[in-house]
Amino acid sequence: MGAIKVIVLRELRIYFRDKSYVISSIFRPVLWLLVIGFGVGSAVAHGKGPSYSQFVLPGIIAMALLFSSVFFGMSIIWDRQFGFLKVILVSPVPRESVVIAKMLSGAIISTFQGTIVLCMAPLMKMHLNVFQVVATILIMFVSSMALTSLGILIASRMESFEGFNLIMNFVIMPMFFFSGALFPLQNIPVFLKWMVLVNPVTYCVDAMRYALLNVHDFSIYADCGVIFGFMLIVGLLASFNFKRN
Amino acid sequence: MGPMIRIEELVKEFKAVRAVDGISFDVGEGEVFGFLGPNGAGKTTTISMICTLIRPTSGRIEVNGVDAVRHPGRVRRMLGIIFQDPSLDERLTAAENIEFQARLYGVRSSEIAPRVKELLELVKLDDRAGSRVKTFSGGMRRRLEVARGLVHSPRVLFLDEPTLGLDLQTRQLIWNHITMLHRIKGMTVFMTTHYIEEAVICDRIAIVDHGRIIALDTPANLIASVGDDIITIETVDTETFADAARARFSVDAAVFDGGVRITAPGGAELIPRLLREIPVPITSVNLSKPTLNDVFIHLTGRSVRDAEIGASDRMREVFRHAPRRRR
Repeated sequence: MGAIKVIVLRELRIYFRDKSYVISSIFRPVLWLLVIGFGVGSAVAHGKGPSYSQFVLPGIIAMALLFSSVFFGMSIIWDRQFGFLKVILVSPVPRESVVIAKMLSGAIISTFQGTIVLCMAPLMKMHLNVFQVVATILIMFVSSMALTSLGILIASRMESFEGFNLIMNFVIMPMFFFSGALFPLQNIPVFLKWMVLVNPVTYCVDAMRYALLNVHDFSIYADCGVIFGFMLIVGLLASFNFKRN
Repeated sequence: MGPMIRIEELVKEFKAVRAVDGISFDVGEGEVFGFLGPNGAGKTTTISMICTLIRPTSGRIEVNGVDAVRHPGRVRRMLGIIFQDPSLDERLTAAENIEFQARLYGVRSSEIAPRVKELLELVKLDDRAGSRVKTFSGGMRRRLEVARGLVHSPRVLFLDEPTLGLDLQTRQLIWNHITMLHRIKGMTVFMTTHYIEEAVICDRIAIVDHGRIIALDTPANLIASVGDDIITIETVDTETFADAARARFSVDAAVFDGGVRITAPGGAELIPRLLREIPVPITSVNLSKPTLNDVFIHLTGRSVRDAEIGASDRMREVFRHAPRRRR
């Protein structure tokens, strides 16, 4: 337990110390929210229910979580390259603590970013109660744990950061676009529907939409089941791979 | 009490190559033990096995009586390691790097601050405690790594090529720090180097080549095994001096490069006697000892530098057969 705390504190210290990095990591989702929410939103007709900018808010939060978590998980490549991981590996700290600590740190950092985006809710004329905010933060946290382990899993298969663009284009971007983050799922074509259904991010978005706007495509139990299941499977795979290497 | 480190018939194979080929040795408590040999001789592989980073193919490793393969956690606790490649966190400060290490090894919170302070003072970095490591020079980083390796009071400190890539002056400084820390802390030190001149600070040296130990003794004995001292004398009459030396002391004396070159055991004792008993005025005397490099030449028929050229081919071989480096 102690070791996990030590590693988490190190990660948080590094992240929050670099102010320019903190600001730029928050800037992107906020920019997206403004451009997509209000820009695209103004071109989208809406009848009853939430406006497009309200609808897209959980999607943008999911985007923030996805980018930040997977990237954070992959940062283990740097730790390896700069020898810092070796320092941890020769210490008495159990291997799995390293993975758990990374998952927790990624989740804390991503949830922080997601929460900043959530703070934009009043701009979308959303009035949230405490329960809605707490529920959303919990969903963010668990989703980020899952996505960070995905990053660690990818990193365990990579020697260097050279393949990062590949991962960006073929993993992160599709997971974002095929998630229902930007569009409702009711009238989409069949091929898209399948892509969306097998994408775990879909369920994160859906769960947050349920918490924030009380609209959803799946039951909250299905959402939570997928998020937890994804976290467990990928988390176990990540620590298995990490230990084996 | 047994030795601090006991290695028996240790073997590590990487697919086609035997990087470590059945080595055995003991390291006593408090000893400074050196692994000397060219790059690719198996030094780092051996250290990685003792530090439980890689598993041996066969053989036994005991640290303070604990089996390193069966109880890696207990062994790790007793070791401090300074890796060949830098491993500091550049984004943290000097003090934070040491503090992080202390916490990883479960040093009690109340003890951390005084230890960090003490170690930074010892390596003369106390004035930079709050600076981030990315602003440090190579020598400062090395010193910080040495300090960090000691924060949990390890029983054994491993130094894998601690001065690689540093300039001569900085190397000297690093060794001063290491010998001083050894004197103060009294831990066992296990070091590898391929800078021959640095190995002389060891109590004992194992000379390794092609994954095997080809000699193991004190530096003095290793050098003595090569043989005699070399005395070079310049005199006004070299021929007479050489003849007299041969006749009276039955030593090997030759006229060489305008001087007399005498090869004999116990050169330091011989010089005053030569000067006293041979009535030829001399202009200069030079006594040189065989070096550890001469030992390596003596044992392998080639110098460490020459061996490195061959060794780099060997390393390429290793990596060709093991494309994914295992941690």
